[in-house]
Amino acid sequence: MWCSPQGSTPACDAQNVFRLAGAELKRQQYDQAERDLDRLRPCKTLSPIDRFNLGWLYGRAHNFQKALTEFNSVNPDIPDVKTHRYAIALAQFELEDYKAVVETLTSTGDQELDSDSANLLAVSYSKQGFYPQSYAVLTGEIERHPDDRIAYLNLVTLLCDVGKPADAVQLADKAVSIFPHDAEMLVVCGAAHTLAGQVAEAQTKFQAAIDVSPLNGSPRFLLAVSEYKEGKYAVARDQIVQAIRLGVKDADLYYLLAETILRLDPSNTQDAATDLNHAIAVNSKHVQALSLRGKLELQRHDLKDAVRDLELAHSIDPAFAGATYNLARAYFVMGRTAEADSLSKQLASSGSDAVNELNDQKLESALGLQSRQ
Amino acid sequence: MLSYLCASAFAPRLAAQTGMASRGLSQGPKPAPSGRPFAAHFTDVAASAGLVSPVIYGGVDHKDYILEADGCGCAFIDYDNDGWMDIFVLTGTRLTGAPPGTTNRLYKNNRDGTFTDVTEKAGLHHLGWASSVCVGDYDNDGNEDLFCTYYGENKLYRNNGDGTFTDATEQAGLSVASDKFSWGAGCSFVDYDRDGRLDLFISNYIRFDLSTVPKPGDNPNCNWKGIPVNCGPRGLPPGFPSHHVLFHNNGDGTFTDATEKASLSGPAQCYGMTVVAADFDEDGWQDIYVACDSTPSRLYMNNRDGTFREEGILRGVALNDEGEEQSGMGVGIGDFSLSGHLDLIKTHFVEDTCELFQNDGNANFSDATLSSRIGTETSYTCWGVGIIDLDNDGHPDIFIVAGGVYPEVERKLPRYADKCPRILFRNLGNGTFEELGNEAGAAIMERHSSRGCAFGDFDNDGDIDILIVNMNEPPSLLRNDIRGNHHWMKVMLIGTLSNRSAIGARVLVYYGGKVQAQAVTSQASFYSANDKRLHFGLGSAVVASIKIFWPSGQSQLLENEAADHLITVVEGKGVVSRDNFTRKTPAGA
Repeated sequence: MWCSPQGSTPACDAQNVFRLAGAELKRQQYDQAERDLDRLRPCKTLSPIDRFNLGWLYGRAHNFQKALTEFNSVNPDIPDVKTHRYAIALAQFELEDYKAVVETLTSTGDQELDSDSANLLAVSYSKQGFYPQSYAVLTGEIERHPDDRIAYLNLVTLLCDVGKPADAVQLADKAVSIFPHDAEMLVVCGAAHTLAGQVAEAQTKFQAAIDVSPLNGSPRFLLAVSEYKEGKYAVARDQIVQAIRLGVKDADLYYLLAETILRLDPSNTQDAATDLNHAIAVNSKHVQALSLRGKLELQRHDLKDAVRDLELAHSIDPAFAGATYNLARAYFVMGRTAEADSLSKQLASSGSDAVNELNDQKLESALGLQSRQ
Repeated sequence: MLSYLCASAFAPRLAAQTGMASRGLSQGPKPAPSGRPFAAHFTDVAASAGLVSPVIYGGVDHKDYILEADGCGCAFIDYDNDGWMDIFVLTGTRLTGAPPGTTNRLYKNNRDGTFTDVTEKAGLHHLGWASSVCVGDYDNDGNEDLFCTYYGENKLYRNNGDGTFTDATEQAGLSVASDKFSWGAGCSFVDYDRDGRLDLFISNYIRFDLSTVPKPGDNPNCNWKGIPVNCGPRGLPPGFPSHHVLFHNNGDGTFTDATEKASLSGPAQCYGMTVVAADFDEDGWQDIYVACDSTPSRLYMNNRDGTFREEGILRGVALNDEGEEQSGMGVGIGDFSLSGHLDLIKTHFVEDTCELFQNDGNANFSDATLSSRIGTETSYTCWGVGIIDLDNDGHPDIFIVAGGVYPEVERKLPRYADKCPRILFRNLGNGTFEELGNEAGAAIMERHSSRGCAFGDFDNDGDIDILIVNMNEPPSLLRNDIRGNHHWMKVMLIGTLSNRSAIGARVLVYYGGKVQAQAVTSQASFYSANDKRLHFGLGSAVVASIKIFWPSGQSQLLENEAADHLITVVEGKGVVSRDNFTRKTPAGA
């Protein structure tokens, strides 16, 4: 017997298992949810629609292979042809089989795709470098559904991705005029302006996004970091402090505040450390904050704490040069030369600095959000 | 419908690669001025001094190749041993052919503020893509010799002691390192094995073949700010035959390639530029630092057995404190913190900071760029640099020259000027610096596209003057006319057990409760050589003690020497002369 004898849910009672797994998924207990869903897999009595829903919940639990298996185990009209096809394509997308997504979504020839499928198809084309096809799908989708905000977001991103920031800005501005109170659209528009080097325009969009969604940390970070990159550290600091006072609780903001404090007064490591502690309290795996705190600890020869923070930062993101470098330095000072040597070899080439890297991540994130349905 | 999509669909590459490493840092806010007067005052006297021939280097308004962009160095050298600094200025050429008369130039100091061009008489006429110069008496005959690196064959010029030089490259066995695509960069005479003879270390930049180098705009390494520009160094093959070469001095006028034996061979992984040799960990043996462009810089620690180990990253001088590569060009050494140890400064590309590294005496360096406040300046591409006491207040200042490498960019983006002012950071004595402009004289704010610079006292008036190479213009000679009553001391060393130039000697001067370290170098700044007489500002102190650590391993203490003198010391013998320069009144003062 694979089902728990103590469990109150009968092994093949699909609705009960779905309810249980749904609650676990809400709590982000993906492994537990998957284990519960696994109890349904051998059940011969499951209806086709329940098997489809089982696949969907596997998807939510991040096991896309099992999801795909379940979708493929029922007829292609379960629950209907379009939904079934989209579910299969979505699972294939998550499995990064973009070629299969395209085959799935284009297999029906002339049949018009719904908006979700059109966006998924466009993104899959783009992932394979088929930019003209992606462009054609997205422009067609916008023509058919001028209210499809996801298509606008995807097309802006596509234009940025292919190195046409001016076109991206033009389209993003148009999208903002259609969706003037959409914070995500405003952030994407600001990101496009940033990539086009139009800092003032970007800042206007980020500010507009803040006005629409005052507790959203993302536009506040992007606005502050744009000031930081212009060397206006005091302005950036004041913006962040204001955001924090308003109740925005964002690890990136705390981290950037620490950076601005150090830029304004390199000797003020105490205040910087306080804000880094806040950042790490919000997100215990914040690589940039851990790395900077480790660097400050190294500077004051607090080697034990430095190594603890830098090792954690390095384990989370081994490619982050700041953590690798300072960890190598700390090991060297401690006489752990073999470990120091090993790390220094990883630093033959390095990336952008911590603030730039985080800024790029945030812009990428802003420009990547639109694939979420 | 429920959603479970987790991945981000698009991840545009935002950090575009470019040919030069830079962080994209805008100019930061500058701290409020201290309001303290600055005693040094600089006037460009090059024209009246007779330095009127331009340094030719590639196109003026446009540079298709990096070969035209990097420029060259200069030297203060007393080639005729008359006690007055003469001037040697390198030059390049043009792809379309150099203007008539283009050559490296040697200027003899007339001891009256003017110079006479003695290039032809000295046998130093040479036209080519010169990079750097290092100075040292490699044959210990009492005359300072010259070594120059080139795109193509490097040159060793032996000083004959009669006002002439002989091209001794082939005789010395130094032509073997070159092939026609080799691009010699930094160089330094250094006695790495303490045998009393100067060996020679050469860094190489890239292997440059005009027929295969991409053109502006051809790839991401050939674009900057969206504008097609000359390519590199990223994307181009590093130096040939190895990234660095070490020649051992055989003592008979010849050298032997000791690169492999010294554990310096291996795959080329850096675009080498300026070389500075000094005893950074104070163990009595010479270490070698190489500024590397857009790759991690190198610190070769001397193993005291004829070999080296590379520890730039571990000792904190290869990358900035976030582990990033920078466009290392020039290197200054000195003791900005008055700790008695040799600190380092390295210059970088526009929108990046110059990096200041503080030495703990064991060659473990901490990054003092931000804490010292020099990190506020990111507006210019910086080259020549020195940690040098310009106002004799006893606190070494920082002087940097700057200039663009893409002159065509300025037409579209005026913010990125090709011609730049000089950068002067005055040491406030509390671990921080403040940037000065006209307060230090009009010459500081005059704009040129500068490269190498050398620090020395050409008019023997007890302060530091500055010789600067300007691209496609005559050099600048910034005469320093110090005001006030600060004192100074110069130390001139003559080795006996050590190499005669005393290159590598470390000197501590104790004055007014302070201690300051300096070292005799063969090359520093950017591709240049400084006055080998070490200059110490003493502030109000009227006596100072001197401790000398000779490259041979010997040390010597000289107590309570009177200020305002050039003290000449012979190894094993002691002070052989004390010259009291006559202070001069600045013209027009």
